Amino acid sequence: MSGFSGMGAWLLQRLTAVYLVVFTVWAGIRLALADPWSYAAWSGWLGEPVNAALAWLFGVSLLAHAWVGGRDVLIDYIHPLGLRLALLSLLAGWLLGSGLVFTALVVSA
Amino acid sequence: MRPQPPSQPRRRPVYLDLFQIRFPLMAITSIAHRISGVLMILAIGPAVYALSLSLSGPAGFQRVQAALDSGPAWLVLVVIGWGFAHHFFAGLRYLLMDIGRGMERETARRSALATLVLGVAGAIAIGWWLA
Repeated sequence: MSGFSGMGAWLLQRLTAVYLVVFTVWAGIRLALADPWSYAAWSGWLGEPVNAALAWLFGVSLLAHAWVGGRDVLIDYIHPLGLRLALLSLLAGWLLGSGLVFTALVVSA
Repeated sequence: MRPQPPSQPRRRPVYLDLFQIRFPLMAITSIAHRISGVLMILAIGPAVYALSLSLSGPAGFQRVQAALDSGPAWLVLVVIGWGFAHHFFAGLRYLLMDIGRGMERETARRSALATLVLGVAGAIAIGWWLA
């Protein structure tokens, strides 16, 4: 099964995991300290180019991580080939669609 | 002479009563890592939708805030919060194991238990914070 397999997927899963941990801890602290919550503060935060770039990298890492993990789960538990391919396609569409919308949001914020 | 297939399929002893098999803590932590990952994959679409609504303007931002304050959303967020917390700590545990830490059986058992506890603690913390 192609699409990030073997050693490449193993490494990608770990590199993205490290960035996901770093970003969620940083963003989580940042979010918890933001008080009061407002639209202006929220959109202003993402409007900063550095924040937007880090958030976009987070989104891409998350989707790559979700693809490798979700693909592993489907291959392990779904054995009929047709159903497996259908669900893999659904997963790919779900993640790519989310990624495109997310990219548009981050770019226009 | 070619070997004949047995007239009856051989009956192997199969014992798959899931309520009788005792799963080690490590196995429970591992399967919960997968379940929490799948839960969060399902949450990606709704999360992106909520993000787009929250960035659409002050009205959209307030709509998301109001929706997140509702009872059903609280329950969903607590479940997703558990998924995130469990996946986060289980992932850290695996990363440490990748570099050779905590591989002894007793250590691995204790870190598996700690991961399960931290996952539930995370869910409680998020539920309490949002309440």
